[in-house]
Amino acid sequence: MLKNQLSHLKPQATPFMEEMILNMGPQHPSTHGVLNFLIITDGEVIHQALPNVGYLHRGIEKLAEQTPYTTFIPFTDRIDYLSAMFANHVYVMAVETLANIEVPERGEYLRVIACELNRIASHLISTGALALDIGASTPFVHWIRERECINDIMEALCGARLTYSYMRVGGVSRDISQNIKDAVLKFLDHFEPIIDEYNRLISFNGIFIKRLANVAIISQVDAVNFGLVGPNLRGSGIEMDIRRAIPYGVYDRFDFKIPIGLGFQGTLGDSYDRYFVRILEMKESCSIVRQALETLPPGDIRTKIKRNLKIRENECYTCVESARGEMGIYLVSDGSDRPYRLKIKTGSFTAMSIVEKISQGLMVADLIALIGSLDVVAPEIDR
Amino acid sequence: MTYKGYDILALRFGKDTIIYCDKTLNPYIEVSSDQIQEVCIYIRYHPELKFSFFFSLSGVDYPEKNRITLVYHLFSMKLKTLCVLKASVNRNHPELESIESVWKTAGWFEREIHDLLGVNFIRHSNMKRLLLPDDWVGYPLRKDYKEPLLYHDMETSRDKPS
Repeated sequence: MLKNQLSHLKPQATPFMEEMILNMGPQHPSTHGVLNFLIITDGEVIHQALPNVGYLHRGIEKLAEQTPYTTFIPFTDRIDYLSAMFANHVYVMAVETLANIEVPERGEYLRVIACELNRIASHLISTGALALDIGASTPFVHWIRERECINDIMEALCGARLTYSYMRVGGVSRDISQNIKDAVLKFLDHFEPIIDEYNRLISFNGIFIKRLANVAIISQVDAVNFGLVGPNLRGSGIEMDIRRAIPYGVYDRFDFKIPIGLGFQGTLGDSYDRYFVRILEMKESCSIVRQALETLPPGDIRTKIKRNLKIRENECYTCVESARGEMGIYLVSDGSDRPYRLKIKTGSFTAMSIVEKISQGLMVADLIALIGSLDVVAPEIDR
Repeated sequence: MTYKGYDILALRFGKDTIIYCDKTLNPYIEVSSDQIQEVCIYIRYHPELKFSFFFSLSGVDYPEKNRITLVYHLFSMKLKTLCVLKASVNRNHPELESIESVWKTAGWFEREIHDLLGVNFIRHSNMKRLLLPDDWVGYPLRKDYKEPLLYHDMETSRDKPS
């Protein structure tokens, strides 16, 4: 059975001499969802690791063709459950661009606040889970505690803790109250010093560094060639951020740095760089949220749109910088009230395609570090 | 894509073979399907273009025109602009040159399109289904797709969702 399965995947994936086939996943806890790797190994060193995806394929792109424009928003939450806000954002941005809808300034600012808080929450899980995967369970619990605060804020802001559906075509669903503003500021005051504490706890821990530094190095050429995006690309030292490269919303009004990998504890582009870029990004996100709260303009949060939104024949590609890098939507309309074609491009999809190349010659335990540092989320790969 | 970028391309390939169209929100360049690989290599490595970032590859099915259109989204840090390339193939014999050799990541996108739309990419290293099982019948993102009622004697739909 297993041999048949392998022959489907690739002809060269047959074990040779002392090699054996190891099935990692789909229930392995460190694969971040249901992912399956067929690993050809001699017991220690990976000769080949073939990712086998598709366990979470729900056909969201096909569902979109049968769903009216405004009704599709809750589906976008399910693309990436750790950072649902970005999928909301990129989808409503695509519809707004096509239908030529202006978003009120306050709505744009609230989007930025919600997105950056979500980015922090997503990076907390990503960095915490990486530590958990390679054997340090304490940091994960600390990060979950911090993430709980963000979840509470999100619950107060949009009524949901994970699948937000906060964005609407033309704005956002609810306004931010003074109480929530205070809660956000209180959280930021509490959280920013915690990052340094966390660095002392795990980031500068000798064993942790040994497990990540100089492991699974992705060169700049490979990173561009395999289409890596977001923190994975920046971890290889390429300063590419959609918020700067193709500014959207009101991101051009905020002052923030783009952290890139510098070979913090070893070689440029190793797992530690990808990890540490995320830590640095959380600080930047905190600063963006502060700036947005300070300069939050008064006014409407949403423009009124027609109940039955119809868009004439056109097409566009919009992208945002999500927690996992560039997330894009290619939307084709044909004059009816639902999309003719919707293509969702996600960061995890391209990150997954590099695993086969980088994993060659790694230890089996280092594959876990690689997947953890790439921050792959399974439903985002399969959609 | 800017006019300047298009002019460089038109100089090399001729204005008849690659057609600039700005009726849509993102202007696109229509390329004939047998030239797509050449155009991609040129656009990626030309020192004044440098569209080195491959954003996405999508396929759109147009049954009434009997063709499938493949849409390439590329990005250049140098020009800070998006480039949209379009290539159409016949819906009955959808075949196209693979651009896996230009961007490695395109390989997976092409596999996904092969899986969901049934386009064959020539000289692809591993032209297998990516998301669906290997023995799945049909291409779901085609407009006339009908889901098979049974898969390995399992029903694919329920009368009363519980």
